[in-house]
Amino acid sequence: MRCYVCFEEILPEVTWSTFLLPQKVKKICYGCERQFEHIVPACPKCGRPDSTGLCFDCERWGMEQEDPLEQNVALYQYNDFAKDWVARWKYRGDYELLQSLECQLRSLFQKTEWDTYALVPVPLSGGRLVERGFNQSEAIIQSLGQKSTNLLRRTGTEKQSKKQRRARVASSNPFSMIDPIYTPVVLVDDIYTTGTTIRHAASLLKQSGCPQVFSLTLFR
Amino acid sequence: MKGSLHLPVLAFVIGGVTSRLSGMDLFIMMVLLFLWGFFLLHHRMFFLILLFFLFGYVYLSPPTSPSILPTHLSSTVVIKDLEYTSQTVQLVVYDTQTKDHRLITYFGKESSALPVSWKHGATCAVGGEVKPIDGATNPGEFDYRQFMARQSVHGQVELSSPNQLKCEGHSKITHLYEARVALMKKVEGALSKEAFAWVAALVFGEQDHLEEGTVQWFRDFNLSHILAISGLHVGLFITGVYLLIYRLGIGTKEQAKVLLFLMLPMYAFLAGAAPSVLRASLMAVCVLLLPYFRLKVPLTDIVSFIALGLLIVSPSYFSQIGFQFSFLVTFSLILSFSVFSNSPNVWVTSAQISLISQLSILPIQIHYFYEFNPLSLVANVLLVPYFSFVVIPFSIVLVITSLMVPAVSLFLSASLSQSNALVLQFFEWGLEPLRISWVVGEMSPFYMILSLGAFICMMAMWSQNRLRETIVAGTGMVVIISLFSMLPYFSSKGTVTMLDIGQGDTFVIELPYRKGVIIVDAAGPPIFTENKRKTADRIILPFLKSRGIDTIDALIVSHEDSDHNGSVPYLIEELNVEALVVSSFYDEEETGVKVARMEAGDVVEIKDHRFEILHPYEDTQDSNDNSLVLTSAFGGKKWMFTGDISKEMEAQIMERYPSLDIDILKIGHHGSDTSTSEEWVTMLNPSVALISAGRNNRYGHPHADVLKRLERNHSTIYVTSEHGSVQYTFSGQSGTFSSFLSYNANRSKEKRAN
Repeated sequence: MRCYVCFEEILPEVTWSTFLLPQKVKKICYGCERQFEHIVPACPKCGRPDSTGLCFDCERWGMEQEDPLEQNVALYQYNDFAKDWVARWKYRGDYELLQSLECQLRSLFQKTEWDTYALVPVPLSGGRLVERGFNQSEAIIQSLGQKSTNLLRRTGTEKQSKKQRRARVASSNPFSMIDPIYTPVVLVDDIYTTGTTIRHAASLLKQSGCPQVFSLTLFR
Repeated sequence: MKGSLHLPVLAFVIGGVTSRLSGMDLFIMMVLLFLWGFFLLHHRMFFLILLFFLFGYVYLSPPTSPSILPTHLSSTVVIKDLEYTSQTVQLVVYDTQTKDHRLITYFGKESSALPVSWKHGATCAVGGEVKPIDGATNPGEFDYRQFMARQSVHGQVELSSPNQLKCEGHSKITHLYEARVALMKKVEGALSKEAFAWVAALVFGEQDHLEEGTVQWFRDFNLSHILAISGLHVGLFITGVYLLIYRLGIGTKEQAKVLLFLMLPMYAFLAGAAPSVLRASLMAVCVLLLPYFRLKVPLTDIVSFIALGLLIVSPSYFSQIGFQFSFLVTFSLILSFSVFSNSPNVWVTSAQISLISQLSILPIQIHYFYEFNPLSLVANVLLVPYFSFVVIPFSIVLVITSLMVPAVSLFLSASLSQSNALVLQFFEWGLEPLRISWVVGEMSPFYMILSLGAFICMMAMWSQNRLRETIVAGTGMVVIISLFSMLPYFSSKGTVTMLDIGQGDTFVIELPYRKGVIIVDAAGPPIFTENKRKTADRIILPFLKSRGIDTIDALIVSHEDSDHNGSVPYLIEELNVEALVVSSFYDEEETGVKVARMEAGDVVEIKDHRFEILHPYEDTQDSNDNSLVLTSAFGGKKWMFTGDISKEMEAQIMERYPSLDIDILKIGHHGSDTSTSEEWVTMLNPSVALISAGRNNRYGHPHADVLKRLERNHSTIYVTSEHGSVQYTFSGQSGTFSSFLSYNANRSKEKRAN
């Protein structure tokens, strides 16, 4: 087995907790996995890594109106290594690369106890979907082994990653509802930067009657 | 396959273990194996694992001894080089006719007087009779016959003169053995005696030159792994060569590796090629070689592959302690890498390494040695670095200097060994309070499996950094061991054991619920034996420790002959002896132990158990006749211990106690005709007679007349020289006898008729 990230051969790690039983096969080598940084301690709401209490971002979100988002959980920090990973996966279309984080993603999802909630992908506009070939949120839900519930449609086409915070926060809501939902929802996306995209979707969901909105992202 | 090779090898080893289990232990093992198999059912290697288990079950099962040994050897080949001990020279030969191995022992101290033709690979004609190798005759005793049988060596020839072994020829590797001996001789000549003792142990793997006390001290602190060449020494050698070549700029990294690759087999051979040396060297060679083949292989696979290879080449490794310890420790440490990567500094890491190494072998260690030092970790943390960075490097340097500049090395070695002695003295002084021992007893496979399970749980938790669960599981391991050592305290069974200590008496009484342990007499070895501790060290102490005994409530000594009190000083030294019970006319040396003096009519209560003293009444001026005679009840039977009293004393006792009735009688004076009169037997009317006498002893004990008298009385006779140790197990008002050796009534009758 070779590492999906660096193509080096993966040496199975045999430890006390695994040596008697068949091993779970990981698709990322120890060296690459170590370059992703875990998020501890984190903002209890959005998972921002440099904060111990509620972070400044989340405080600001709650200042003007009630924050539509209950909590965001992310796997790793969005460091340079993660940026390269995302670029390869999303922009250069290395769809299979996601498998390198599947194990970790699944164990994170298990810890959240959200498995009874509907997993809602953040939609792409039609043009972008054609350009990219896949919806990153749906890919994540699929790798979790769950079913995605498509409740949203994208009307705006602006790309968030090219904008500054101020411009992002002030941007208009690019989503519209397909179907209303009355049970808690987990929004799934690849990156949580300022939280604007997620909150746009969340506020829409809440307006149409959803009691609680959580979100799960790969990076924060 | 990669990263999973340990699974079939583990199954292979477990197969070997399973082939040695029986009864309840086997049942529990099978349950565990089914559980394991269930988890592995969908593993793609499932059938390979199963196959290896069966292979191990057959291939590693203990070799069966041939029922009949040939009386003489016609043509043999020496297959194991000469081994010198302080009193013997031993070699192993291959019997070309029976295709079996035999041990040849020559009792001669002068190695220079040996024929030079005794060489590895030589073809030899052996004069002399093939006899069975002496086996254990007591519980807890080291079984030399079994030990040799596991190496497929059955039967030995004891040479009375070197002329009985005529050899010629040699093998291709004889020169290597000779070169090694010559090299050692050269080093020995160039170094001071003390320095050579350390060099011999740490570089050549020969511990014989070290003082017994030093070796024992290392053993008491679980430090024997330093004295036996292991991964530590091989690792230091590799580091040394690497640093010398690469860091000093003599050669490139690659050149250093090539040189190491060439030197490692030589080093392994010089170091004595013990299993631990082979393991470490082979692992090093693999790690050096694999990059050249662009192969990345996990260490678990490498160590598993080497274990499998060594076991297939030589299945006898499987029952060698050195092999077991070496691979268990190595495998455990490899599995623990994530623990070490979490540790803050080198000191913590080295403490963790010591702790994990010791815990991993603990169940087996207790099984073999019955005891361990729970505080040995401190000594390890202090002495392992001292030996790694000072003593072992200096030893290697001394070997090199003694070969290159012998003139300097004598002076150098003398001063180095002196400072080493000082440092060790300091450690000995400082660590003395920690020199304790927890005598657990001979751990049964069931408890070994349990404690090993707790250890694996503990390590699984630790490697996930779940410290609270780690402590819980670790405590579980301690609880399991404690529980095992407390079993006798819950048992209603008591025992009286007549140990087979040769010519002499030793009885060990364990009261029910382990309320007390009483010893009646503690024989020493025959007077002409040089090692006065022999009987205590080889028979009495191992027996006591195998039963988990380290405290003697009373040591009753009948009289002052060495076949009754020869081991008393060593029992006092090694155990907590609460009191000595002797006769009023006993001249004992001051030992610091409380002494109770008894004579006829006295009653002594030891832990609520009553002993009545019937003799001596007055000083008879004869040590045998001054023997304490005592009676007591065990399991509803009345026992009598008679020491060495003569017929005259028996008459005296009968006169004073005319209504004596005894169920179990220890026959006086090892069955000599000067004791055990017809009247004595008739009056006491014992149902069982116990005789402790040596095999082929020069006094002819037990005397045929004594045996006849007992037979006429229809007493069941147990003699240590025939039965080995004899144990009486009692509970409440009943008890049964069992003997260590299976009793062959016909054979002993024949003997008596002769």
